[in-house]
Amino acid sequence: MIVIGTEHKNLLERLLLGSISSGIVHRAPCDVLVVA
Amino acid sequence: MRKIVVGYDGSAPSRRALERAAELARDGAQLVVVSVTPVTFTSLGMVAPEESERAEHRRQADSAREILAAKGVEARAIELAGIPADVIVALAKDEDADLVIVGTHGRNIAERLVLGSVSQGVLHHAPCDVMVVR
Repeated sequence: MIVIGTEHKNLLERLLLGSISSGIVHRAPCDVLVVA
Repeated sequence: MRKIVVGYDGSAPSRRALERAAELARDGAQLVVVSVTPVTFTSLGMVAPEESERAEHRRQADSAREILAAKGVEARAIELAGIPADVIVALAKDEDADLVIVGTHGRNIAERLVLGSVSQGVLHHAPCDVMVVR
């Protein structure tokens, strides 16, 4: 499993990190836990 | 990890989401499984689902509860109607969940080019950790 964290500071970071997490989740070969 | 909401639609990833939930339940977490009857939209607005569709999703929720019971895990399993990602997120808030578990895709996995719409919606709006299961 891949575990990734998110730390949303402002709107821009939230949008960018959101697309990064989605990208990792989509491409990962395994389950992904996204920690809020 | 006290409470976990699991989205279930009978698809292979969601069955594996139940397995993950069962593993975590053995450490003492409470499980709430939700099967969402999707509403549809036309140019005239939102169309409420037929009662037969809701009954189908209630059966789906019941079968999730049975799958978990066979693994020795007790869970609440409910059906709700709405936009699936929104319903799951709202339920996680109402239940004060620590974790939401959903599959990567539902039954329509033809669109493998992108992550499923429900997992995307849940990832972006959940109030807690999200586990996406493939």
